[in-house]
Amino acid sequence: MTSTVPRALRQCLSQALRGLPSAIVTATALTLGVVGTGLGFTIGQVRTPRTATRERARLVARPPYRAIAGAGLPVAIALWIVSLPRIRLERMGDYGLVPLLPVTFWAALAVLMVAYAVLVQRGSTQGWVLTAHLIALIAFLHATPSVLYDTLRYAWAWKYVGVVDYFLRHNEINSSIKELGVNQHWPGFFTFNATLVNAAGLQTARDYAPWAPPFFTILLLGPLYLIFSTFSSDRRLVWTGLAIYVLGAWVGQEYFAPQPMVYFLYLTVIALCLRYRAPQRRGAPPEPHGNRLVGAALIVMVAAIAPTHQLTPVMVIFGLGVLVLCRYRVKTLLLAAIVMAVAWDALIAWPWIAENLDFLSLGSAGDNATSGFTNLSTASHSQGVVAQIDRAFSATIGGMAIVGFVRRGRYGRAPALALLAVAPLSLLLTSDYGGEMVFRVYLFALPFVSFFAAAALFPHAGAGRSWRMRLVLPAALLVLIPGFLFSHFGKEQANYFSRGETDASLFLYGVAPRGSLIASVSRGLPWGFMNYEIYDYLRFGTLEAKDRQRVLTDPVGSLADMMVGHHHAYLIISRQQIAEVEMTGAMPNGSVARVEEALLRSPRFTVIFRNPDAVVLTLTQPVPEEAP
Amino acid sequence: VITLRHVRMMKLRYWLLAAFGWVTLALTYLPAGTPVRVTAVYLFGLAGPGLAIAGLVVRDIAARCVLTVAISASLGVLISVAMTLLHNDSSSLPIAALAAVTTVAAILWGIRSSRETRAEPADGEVVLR
Repeated sequence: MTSTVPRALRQCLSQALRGLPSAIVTATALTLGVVGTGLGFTIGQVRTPRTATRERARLVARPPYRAIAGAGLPVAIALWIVSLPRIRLERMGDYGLVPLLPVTFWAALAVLMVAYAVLVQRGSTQGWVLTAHLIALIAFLHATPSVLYDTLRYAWAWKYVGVVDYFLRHNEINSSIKELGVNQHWPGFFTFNATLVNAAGLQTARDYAPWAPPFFTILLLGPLYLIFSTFSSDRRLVWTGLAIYVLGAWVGQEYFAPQPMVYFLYLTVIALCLRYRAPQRRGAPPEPHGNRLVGAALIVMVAAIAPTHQLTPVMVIFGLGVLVLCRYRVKTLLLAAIVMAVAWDALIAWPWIAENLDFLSLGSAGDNATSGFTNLSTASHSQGVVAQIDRAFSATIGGMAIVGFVRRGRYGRAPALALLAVAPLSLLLTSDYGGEMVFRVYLFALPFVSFFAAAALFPHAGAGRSWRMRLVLPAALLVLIPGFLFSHFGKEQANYFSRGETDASLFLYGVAPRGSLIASVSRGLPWGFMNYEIYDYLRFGTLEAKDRQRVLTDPVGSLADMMVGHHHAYLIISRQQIAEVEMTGAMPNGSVARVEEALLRSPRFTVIFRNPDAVVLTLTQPVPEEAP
Repeated sequence: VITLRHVRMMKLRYWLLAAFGWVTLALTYLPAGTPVRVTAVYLFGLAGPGLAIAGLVVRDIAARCVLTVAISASLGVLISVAMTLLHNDSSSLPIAALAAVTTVAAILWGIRSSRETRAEPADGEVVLR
């Protein structure tokens, strides 16, 4: 801790002095993270309330108990920091990051969760202390890649960096751009980032995008706390629900993208409605002035969701509909949400919707639910195991929630929360969302499911006080840790980009003139959407099955035919792309390597860049005939 | 009724909040990527307007913290989308618009706070009726 952090800071500051703005952001985030965690913990320890004095005295009489509670956080942070330099990314293979995590990393999580469980069950622990533990947990789970990776993690995050860069160059929505057209028509997240990047004088959102996962996950703690504490005054239930949410959110929707931002807004809208728009008794006095201001704030948030994301406005309508059914006073807000979503879709987003009506698959709930599942018969063995683990993990949390709902029975089942947990299932009736719908359903249900999962342990204030039950919470949290790590980091081979791949991509975009065709195996490419409005794209790993088969049968002929129509055409094949299509079973194991070998042997293709992680080829230009 | 006296009684922190956006706007004229400029822009963009408005809207500290970011982000989105639809590429105008909202909200919050302070008798003060 005393050497790694200062070394990282020194490195960042030296980069900053060389004129790299991203290093400033990294150094600031690192400093704020360490200082914030330490400060939160210290304040929490110092500002123990008077009511806790008796409890504290009781703890003093039990030194091991107190030692675990007090030392857990700093020990866990030290273990995590020690772990980081020992993670060898060049060995990334099956099961992604999981086999690379040293014992100290697992120990850091275990110590943190046991300490957290002990503190939660004390009941009198300051919120600051528990928050510091959760922030540390989020840092371990989501900041580890941000610290370790040289480049931005996850292909879709690169895509959205490209869209922000587009809005830095152009201040207009251009319906004629087919690539990433959906992002043109719901641009709120991108224009907002472009505004900030522009005002700050940065070159690109890439400078801070790697820190989006911890940032968004920490943000989500706020509305979740408001929701849980509205329905229970038992702090054990509230804080256990928060930990279950953090550990249960394995679907990876906290990266640099519109979804986590509007998800935060959605949960904030729901939290405020549950808190300030509760059903009113007959004859109750009219709502105070402040409550009308809450209504105005809600309208502003719902208005911001409409132009930012195509799916979340629908979820807002479903969520508010559930609250109307439960007699919450949100009819006007529901009406406003419908009007704003329809108005945006009709006036601005219609060109995209009209061209993509096949995106909707109304009523086919079964197909929409299963289209995103990994096909266990074609996926690699490791991904089959990961898929089974994440299904079992999700089912475990769901099972806990059902137990919690039943156990909470007599003490108030919170029907609004239960309905909010099942409302996202309605999304399955609309579309398969490119195979992702089932994961979005899980995402939108998880906050409310987490509450009931925590209620399985603490259904009421008197429950969970026995010594046997006191062991259940740390045990449950410890069980969730491997579930999250396998489910979230098990596919990391397809989410991690090496420096070599970044270099190849930068070279490619450095030489490709306007109007070129950029061909690749999949979308996985760092800086993959640089100036995307001036290029055409082809991904042969995502073509229809018969076209993919054609590429495998005759790689040179088929790819040359696809690329020949452009004045310049380039093909990039990288380590991550191969991992992505072979892990999911889109291409058979070893097939892309055979395609690459065939292209390298063919005179119709010329290698223009190569390193151990990527190769860039171009169609060989015909030699001009000599003049007679 | 809001009087000049209420405005004069506003505490310094509300004036600082009211000025936050304008100071940020001034800092955007520093060289590109300057740490103080980057920090000020992101801090104001993600918290400034929301902090002022959340102070008016709710009293619960947890709700206020959540609304600080939620309202800032929402207003940022709405203003930036409006600028895009209007084909306006000014980098100062969005910050100025957010700064204006922040100023109005901070002053209203400050005035309400000073009125409430006046309405409550101080410790040990005897109120004659």
